[in-house]
Amino acid sequence: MADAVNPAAPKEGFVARALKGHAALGLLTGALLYLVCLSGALAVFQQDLQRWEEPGAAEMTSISPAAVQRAIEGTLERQGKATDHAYVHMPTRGLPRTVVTTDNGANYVDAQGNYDRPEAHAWTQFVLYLHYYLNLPAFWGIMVTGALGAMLVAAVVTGVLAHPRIFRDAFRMRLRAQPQLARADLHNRFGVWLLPFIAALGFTGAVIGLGQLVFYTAAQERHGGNLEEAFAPIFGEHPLHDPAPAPVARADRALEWMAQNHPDLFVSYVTIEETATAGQQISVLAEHPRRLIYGENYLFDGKGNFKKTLGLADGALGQQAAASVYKLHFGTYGGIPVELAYLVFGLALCAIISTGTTLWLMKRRARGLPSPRLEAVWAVTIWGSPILMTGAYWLRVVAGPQLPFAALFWSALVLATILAALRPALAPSPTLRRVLAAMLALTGIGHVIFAGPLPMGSLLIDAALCLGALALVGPEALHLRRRERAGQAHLAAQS
Amino acid sequence: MASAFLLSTGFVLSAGGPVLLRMGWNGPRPAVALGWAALGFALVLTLTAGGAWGLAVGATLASLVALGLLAVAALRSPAPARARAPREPAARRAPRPSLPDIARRTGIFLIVALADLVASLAFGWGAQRLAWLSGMAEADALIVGLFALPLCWALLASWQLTRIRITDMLLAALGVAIAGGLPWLTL
Repeated sequence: MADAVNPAAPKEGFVARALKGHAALGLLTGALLYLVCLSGALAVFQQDLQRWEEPGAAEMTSISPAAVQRAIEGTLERQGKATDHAYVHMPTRGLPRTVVTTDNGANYVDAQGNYDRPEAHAWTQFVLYLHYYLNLPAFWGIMVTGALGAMLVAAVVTGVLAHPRIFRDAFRMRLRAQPQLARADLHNRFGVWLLPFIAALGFTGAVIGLGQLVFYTAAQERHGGNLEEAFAPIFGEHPLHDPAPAPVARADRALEWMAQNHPDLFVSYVTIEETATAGQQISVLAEHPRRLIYGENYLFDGKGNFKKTLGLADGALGQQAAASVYKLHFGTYGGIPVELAYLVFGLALCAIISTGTTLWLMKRRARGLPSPRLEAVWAVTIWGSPILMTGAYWLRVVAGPQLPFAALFWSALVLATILAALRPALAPSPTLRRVLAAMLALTGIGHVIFAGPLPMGSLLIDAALCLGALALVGPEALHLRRRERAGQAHLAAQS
Repeated sequence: MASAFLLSTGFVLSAGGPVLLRMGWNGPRPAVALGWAALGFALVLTLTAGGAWGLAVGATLASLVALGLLAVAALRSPAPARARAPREPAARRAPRPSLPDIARRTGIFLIVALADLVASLAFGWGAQRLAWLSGMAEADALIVGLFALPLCWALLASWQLTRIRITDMLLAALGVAIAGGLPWLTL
């Protein structure tokens, strides 16, 4: 980009220009992209994290249709307010709990459908909203994250153009070499082998984020500005509005129909639209095995009579493609192995983003143009943001779920960034990394001790936190030990 | 049954492709050709026997195996013979950015972040309108627009960032916007 900025500079080749474009994209979007990718890597296990955050709620591997009906009716009665929508999250592998959500709140129920406790996964939700919206208002937030998705694809394209030797060096990984070379290898090797993943992630993220704009234009063009009508060809029509009061829709009958007619499908969600009115409609979301679509919606009337399917599984190609974007983005199409792979890939992408800007800073330093303030700000972004995310979890434990975690996180991050810019020596990168490692280890150990008897999934998360801490300080400890030994050997040789 | 066999074969080839490439890297060259062939066959098999799902699982598997090979390479990489602090040149003062310099940088940002978005939206809008008017189902036409917008933005930005002159960047954005606007204005 420097060429475009300074056309008087000597002419550079295409590769050099692509490299500068790639660097410019990284510098422009790196910090926000890092936050989105870090929270996205965690979001893969969002259900497991919710279970980890809120131990003790009633759990079950399945729930009967009658209990679901009791859960919906009981929740509506308890809340005592009208609601347009009522949702039931059915027990899944990651979250083996039943959650009833309405416009007025959400609560867990037990296996009989009786009220258990309010849903209060405020920290998990904060992490999710950081990924979806960067904690901004929903419309603008999803636009920004969608734009970041498009820029990630652009970074992939310029990255490939800028590195003609990228395949020739495909397996060179000199992590123990000099810092700049080690980082360059990590950046380039991860980048090339995760290219399909990064491109798919960026593209699907951009489709999800920027899609609203296309629906807006279609609404203006063909539906008199009605956005719901523009969504309908893909995601289905809203049921006809008939506000006359009616008994709560018979989700139990709909679920019994599903069990009789599609015993092979896994029901993950039940939605009632226009709840407790004559126009209400039940939608049962069933996952289809070995498909990328997030599921097929089976639609029923208020009495639980089957009407039709939406067509996400076998309808227009456009419906199937749109429904396939989400699982591909969140890595939920192949059970735990793929989810673990997505966690690894997501963290690797964070490393790519981190090393990209670090390399730029190192090259500046090597040219005699060090930027200690920028280096400190970047260190705060890379290590400070996960420290603050972990700190937010501790706040959640100590002060409860009602705290404004997003506001606190962003305020602390801005403050830390300003401090780093003013006093770059205050918290250098290795110190921040050690602090993060300590916090991860303490979180894992503390959770095991204080959160009570835990299911295997939550214990594994605690173990992963401790392993993460080890991975952060392990190489440094090994390096120090090796240097100590070398020093001792040197002394022995001299004596 | 045949489909399951083809899919399994596709997955095995997905995992084997990077291993063969690694064997051929700095080694026997035929292994490289075999590695690419394995990945090519894996792509065809997973796509035909498992659809988009099969392709996604196969790609995940290939990337995972490749990362494993990189981890092995990282563990085997030799440490430098003697730890030497990199020589750092004396710090010099960076030239202060001039006003025209800042203006140009801001201009490039506005072109890539805003003008390109508007141009790509026009392109996506035009593409879906063209698809709709050519008789496609509305869901299919919408997906054309949904996919065209981010793809167009990413490619446009990539191309512009390899340009020298800012006018080339502007013209590219304008060209894309006009290409998208034509179906809207004329049909």
